[in-house]
Amino acid sequence: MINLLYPLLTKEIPTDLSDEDVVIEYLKSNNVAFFDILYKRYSGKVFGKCLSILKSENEAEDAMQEIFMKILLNLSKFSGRSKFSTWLYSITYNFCIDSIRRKKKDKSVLVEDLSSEHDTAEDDIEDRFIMETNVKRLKVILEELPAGDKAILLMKYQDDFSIREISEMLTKSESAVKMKIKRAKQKFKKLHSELFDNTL
Amino acid sequence: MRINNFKELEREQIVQYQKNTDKVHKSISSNVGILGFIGDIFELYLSRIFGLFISATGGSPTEPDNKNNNGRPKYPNTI
Repeated sequence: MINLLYPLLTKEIPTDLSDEDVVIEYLKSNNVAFFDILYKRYSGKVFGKCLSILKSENEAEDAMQEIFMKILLNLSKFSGRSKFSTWLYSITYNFCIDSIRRKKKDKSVLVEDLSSEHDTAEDDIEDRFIMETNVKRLKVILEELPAGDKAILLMKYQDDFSIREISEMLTKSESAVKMKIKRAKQKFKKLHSELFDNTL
Repeated sequence: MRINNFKELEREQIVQYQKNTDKVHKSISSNVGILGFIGDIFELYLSRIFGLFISATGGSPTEPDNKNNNGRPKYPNTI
């Protein structure tokens, strides 16, 4: 019966609401149709991130299901201090990184080397070089990069998060995040030259 | 406009993996349905469960009768 009424119940829901307004409406009405709006807006992006980090479609599906169930059950905890997308991506990245840590029983996915912040590596790799790497090569390089480096590059270049936002998401200091980005960019460049004929 | 192939990759993935997201959506909907059903059952029978618990511990789950009202009606407007 509910299935038959569902289209009628959802007919009146405006789809041009901001994410934050959709969350408020969901909390007021408990109508799952509002959650569906958020799902439609973000499921593709969340799946892409899960797939990039976890490298397997099945694992990405399982992760996405758990992430959205987590979101659904914790929507009341969304304080609105950040954008909804920032909150959602923060949960996504942390879930995927934790999942890899559990799998590898390795706690250093994003902690590695952060203590030595005063290394001499030069940050001479331009953002433009990384962003303009063609999509096929980008896929190959991302496949090869360690999960932590991949996640941080996605946060910076795909989601346009600021250093401050990334540091809040990963609960690291801003200088640690800057160092992590620098190292990830170096690994990216190294892989690029190793895999594609040293064209640099 | 600045080229950013990370965004292009994201767009490709959204189109390419539409089936996967639909599959997960079905699964989530079914989970939500089950959770809702359990919630409804729990809500429906919660009072009876409490009653049963009270009975089991020796109490009476029914409302106490108005023995202390001295025969007066409960509401002043009723005769």
